[in-house]
Amino acid sequence: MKVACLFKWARNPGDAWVNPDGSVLWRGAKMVASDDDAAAIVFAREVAEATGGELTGVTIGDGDASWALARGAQRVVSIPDVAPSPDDASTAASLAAAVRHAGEFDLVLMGDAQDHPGVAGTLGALLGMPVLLGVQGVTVHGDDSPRLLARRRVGTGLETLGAPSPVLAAVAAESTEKDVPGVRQLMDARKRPIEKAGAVEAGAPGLEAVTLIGSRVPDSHVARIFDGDPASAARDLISSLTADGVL
Amino acid sequence: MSDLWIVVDGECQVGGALDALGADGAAVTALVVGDRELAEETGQIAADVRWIDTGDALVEAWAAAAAAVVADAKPALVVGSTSPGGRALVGAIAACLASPLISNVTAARREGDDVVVEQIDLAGRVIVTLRLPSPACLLIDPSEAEPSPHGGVAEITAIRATPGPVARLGVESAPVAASALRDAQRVVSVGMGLGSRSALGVVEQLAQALDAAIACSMPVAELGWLPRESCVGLSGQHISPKLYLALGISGAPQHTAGIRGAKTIVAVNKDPGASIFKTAQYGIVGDLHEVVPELIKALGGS
Repeated sequence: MKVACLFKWARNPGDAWVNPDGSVLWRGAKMVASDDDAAAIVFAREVAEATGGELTGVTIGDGDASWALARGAQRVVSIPDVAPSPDDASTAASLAAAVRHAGEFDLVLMGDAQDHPGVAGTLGALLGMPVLLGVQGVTVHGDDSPRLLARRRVGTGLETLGAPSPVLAAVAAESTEKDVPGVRQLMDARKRPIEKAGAVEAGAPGLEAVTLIGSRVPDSHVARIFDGDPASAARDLISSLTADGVL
Repeated sequence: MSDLWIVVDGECQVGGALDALGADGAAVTALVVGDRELAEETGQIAADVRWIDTGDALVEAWAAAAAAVVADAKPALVVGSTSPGGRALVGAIAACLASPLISNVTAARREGDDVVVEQIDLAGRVIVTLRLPSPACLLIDPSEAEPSPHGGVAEITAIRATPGPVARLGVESAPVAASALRDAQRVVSVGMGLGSRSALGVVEQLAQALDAAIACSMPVAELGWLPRESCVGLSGQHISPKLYLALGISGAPQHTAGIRGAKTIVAVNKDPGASIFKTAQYGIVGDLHEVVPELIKALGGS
């Protein structure tokens, strides 16, 4: 199976500085890999190995593209001159252009970022692939016509989902990355070539349709704090919760 | 037919969507992707309902069909939920309309041919206002606004459609702990401030005194102090109890994302600067190992 794994297509919200007036400074923060990306590439590598196929890492923007090479990708394609966008459809279009530029794939995996929930569904539609979103595990079954099986937590249960290839699956990590590559792996990965293409060449969208016209800090919230020694604070808290109808 | 569409799957809070749009049900067209019951429930709120009967099929399987229906209608604004099904539907619609798609929207209004939205960004640290051209698609971060019945008889139009190839092959029930947590009205939750697994005993006593379920943050679950199913947060359960008592939890956005629906949050943390105090309505600054036994006494427990 030819497998693509998308990575480092968004910035970490924690890297932004928010001023008291609500303006946001990114101070050169780059696209980074999330725990969801890390989970996705583990499954991508497993599927590629199980099917005797190739894993291609695909990324956009200014993040260190060797990240995927250090995690088992045989090649990486990068469209570095894509800027982050508040429009999930625009991000999806850039990723779709990057995937098409990288080749044809039976399976596309990506992290299902909570801050950009609209990207994966739009991307699947742009690629003409059915989508499975928010999954926690991915395997492939069948030799002649491989079928993707995914598991997903839902409310009170665990679903098993299936789809024929080609298909896009977006992974929601269940934990932080477990097997972080060592220094040697990272250094070896940095020596390997990255296939780069310009946004125009790859067909990524040009002008941004969305305009930022304001930003503000959410109304601050002050908790009612109960002081004193633990015993009196606890008594006062329980009394207030009872009086306020919480208990 | 309205030019404002709401895409309704089983998890879309129609009332919240209407509240965010400042619209009433008489002014919208609802595209229901679900069963007859959902179509009829939605028909009590939206006067015009287009219905794709999913039967037992996965909602995501109808993404292309939904996109075709909406593309034909050429609406100015399409709104949906952030459930997996909602995201697949609205994503397909955005791709078909070649429209912008803004997520985590809390409010939206039309200004001429444009749409102006408020979006919660940076994991809740900032609210940004964006202007975008119509047609536009939005994923709503729903409030719990109760929808008002429009008082009329909704016109429900069934749409014949063919699903795509994704399918649900089976469902296993969650461990009892997960179900109990999801439905619990009161929850006592612990974070790394607990210190060690051995300190869980007094937490269990507090939970018993409150008739509460027990939950935890992701780091606690990763250490194995509590089962994975007890984890609340971005990658864990999303719960909406009436009371959420956070013990030794810092309040990182990854955790508080799982308790946005909690009605009352009480925090106990020895760090007065902990961000949980910006989310909680009540709090005690103190060591939970000293405070929790006193809470048990104050509740009448031994």
